Amino acid sequence: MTTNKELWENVLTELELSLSKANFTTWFRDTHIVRTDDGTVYLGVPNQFVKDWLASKYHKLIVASLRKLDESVRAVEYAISRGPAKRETQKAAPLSGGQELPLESVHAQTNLNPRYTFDSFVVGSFNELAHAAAQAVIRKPGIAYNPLFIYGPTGLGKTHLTQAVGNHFKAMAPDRKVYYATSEKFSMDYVSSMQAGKVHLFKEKYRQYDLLIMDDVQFLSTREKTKEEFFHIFNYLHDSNKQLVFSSDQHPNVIQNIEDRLKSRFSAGMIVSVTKPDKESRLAIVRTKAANQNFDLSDEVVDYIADTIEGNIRELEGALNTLICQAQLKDRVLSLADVKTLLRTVGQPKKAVSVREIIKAVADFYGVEEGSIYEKTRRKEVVKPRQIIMYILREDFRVSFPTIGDKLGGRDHTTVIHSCEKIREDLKTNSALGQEISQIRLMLK
Amino acid sequence: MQVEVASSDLKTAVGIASRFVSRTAALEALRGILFIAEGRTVTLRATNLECGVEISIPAKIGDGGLVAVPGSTLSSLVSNMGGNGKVTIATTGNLLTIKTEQASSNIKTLAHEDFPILPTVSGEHSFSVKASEFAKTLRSVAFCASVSGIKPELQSVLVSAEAGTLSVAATDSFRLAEKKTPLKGVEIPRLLIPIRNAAEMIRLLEDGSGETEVYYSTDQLSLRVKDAYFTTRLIDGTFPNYKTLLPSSYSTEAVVLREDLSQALKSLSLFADSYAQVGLSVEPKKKSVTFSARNTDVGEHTAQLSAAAQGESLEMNFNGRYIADALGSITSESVRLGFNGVGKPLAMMPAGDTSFVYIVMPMNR
Repeated sequence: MTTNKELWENVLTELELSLSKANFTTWFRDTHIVRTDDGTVYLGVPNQFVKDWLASKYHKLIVASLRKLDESVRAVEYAISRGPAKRETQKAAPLSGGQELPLESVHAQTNLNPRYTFDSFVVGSFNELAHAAAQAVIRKPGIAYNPLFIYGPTGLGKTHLTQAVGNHFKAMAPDRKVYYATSEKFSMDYVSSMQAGKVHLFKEKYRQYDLLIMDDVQFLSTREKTKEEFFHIFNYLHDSNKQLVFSSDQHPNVIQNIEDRLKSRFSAGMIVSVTKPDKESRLAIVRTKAANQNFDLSDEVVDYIADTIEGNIRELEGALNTLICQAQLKDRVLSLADVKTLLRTVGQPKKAVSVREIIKAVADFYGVEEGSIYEKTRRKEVVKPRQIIMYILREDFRVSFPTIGDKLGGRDHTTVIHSCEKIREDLKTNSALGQEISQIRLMLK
Repeated sequence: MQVEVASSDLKTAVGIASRFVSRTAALEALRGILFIAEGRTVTLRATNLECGVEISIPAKIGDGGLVAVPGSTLSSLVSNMGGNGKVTIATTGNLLTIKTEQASSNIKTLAHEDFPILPTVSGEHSFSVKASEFAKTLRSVAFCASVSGIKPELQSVLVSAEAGTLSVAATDSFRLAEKKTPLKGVEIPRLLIPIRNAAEMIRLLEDGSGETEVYYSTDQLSLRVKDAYFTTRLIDGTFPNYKTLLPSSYSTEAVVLREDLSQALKSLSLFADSYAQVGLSVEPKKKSVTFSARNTDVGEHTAQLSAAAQGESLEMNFNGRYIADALGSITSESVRLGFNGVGKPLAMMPAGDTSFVYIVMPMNR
């Protein structure tokens, strides 16, 4: 099947022959098919002049040419749309040498990047809950889920989602105050306000917002005074039904050095996770990102990218950018073989982790003595970490059962098999365990 | 076609229409002005597909019809036409004969079948404004619009209205102007009028008297002034949310006489460097605002203006031309200058009037 683009190009070739050059370039430049719907072709034209003229003068000709190539075409509608934007690439006139007004990119007052919108957000099974929660927050800010806490590994769109909430909120209610800050920025603000002796201004500033978004709250954990200030601001905003949105790379319960009073406050609203995208979602993401950049990719290439790069959306985007850049440089369509060579270096190499490191990480995570893992004890608080270690060694590192038993203080391989089975079974019912294990995996990276 | 019109009417109409003629269009018809003789009027139409105009003039019509003639030839011919009497316009074959009491010329015509129709705005969105007021409002900010095409949304004048106030604004990202006037009972969404078209619209509105009805859709805006119908496309884009950039308070303020400032800037312009950079220092204690400019090839100049000033003293650099530009829109006797420290824009307003504000960013030294 021909795409809309090809169809329209064929129509244009035909029209070019039947019209004078001047007429053709004047009226058909920058036209394109926006979409086709049940036999109706929606034609995008640059402005009203062209719309009226095509409709009154060339309508029959356009319909006839379209039908010649595609018999299912029944009608043609015209719509004004800028279409595949051809932005002029001329350089800014260096007439001023002055500083520029902070008009765009980052809205001075909200700190939001307008690029992050819901339109550009790909929803899949891996993030649909987070997306739905964000939507609910927008519909009923301050009431639906307050605070909204989104957590998950890096590069999965947490920032995109939280900023999209802000941008959407801002667009809906331009007079309401929205602010986006990373926890780093928040701390810096606090420290510099202390230095300037203007802590009251800091407090006022953060208490005025109707929607406060804070990214990467896990970094708050080391700063005692900042945390305290954050706690008060949180309470103030939450009590006045102002919406709060947070993101972090960990579940609030496992962020270290965060007091229980903060943890319980984070948990008061809604805690949702974004996980790694599945294959279908990765395919959708690659397609969307490629379409956004007007870059054509064959299905097998899309499939290959989605297969090779698992997990991180940022890496997917990076790989895609590499391909686009190469395609532009070489000025040709990349074959699958090209893509394979190009992407060989992109995938993240698996880091070598020693068994000892894993044991230490898990023991630390559950707060047990590293040494007790090797002992013959059957205390409950030791057994669970030990089983998890076995499970991770088996699942993630493909270590043989006898070796695992050997490394963990000379245990029989049947014990190891039993442990792995047990964790696997537990995982089916116990979601908290799943979270713990994914946290541990994160720490091992 | 065979018609008779008053020479003065023709001159005015061709004068206006020729401004809309596109001289370089690939489509020949667009380089022309179309005459439509029908009923008791001759209507002249011209468009460059960005904006377009139709002007009707009363005529004695012997024979109706359509004809298109090259705009540049016609406008040069008509503007040099002597006499105040009648002009006879008639077609023979592919020639248009224009005959006055003293002279007669034959102009080759263009294919009028190719001449586009002007869009009419459908839908019921409209508002009514006093033409001359609207022109003045638009003109007071239009000079700020960007000349570069990199950001089409800045190559425009923003028009919007809510809560009884009509706001217009323009910016080229180095400076920004906003003007507000009362406009009762209508809400207008943000409309972006391309700056070149806005300039033509302003010229037309300035000729008008009384109320003008403005119609708009999401893509197009039209209005009627006297016997002229004007239409322009609107830019599909988002104008920056500039309101947040307008300072609400100032750490330093100074009020100077407009005349003093204007004279000082003229002298300074002789000495400013190629970036038109002038230094500005405010000293509230000395009740003065001092401007200085230096050019290694010419020399240097300092001008101290007496001012009613308060707040912290400061020193900054600005593009002198940008400051001078604002004086075209500030007509009050004195000008209020507001600062918020280094790196923050300078605000200029007419003293005692909040309807106009102009902000300009400082220059880096």
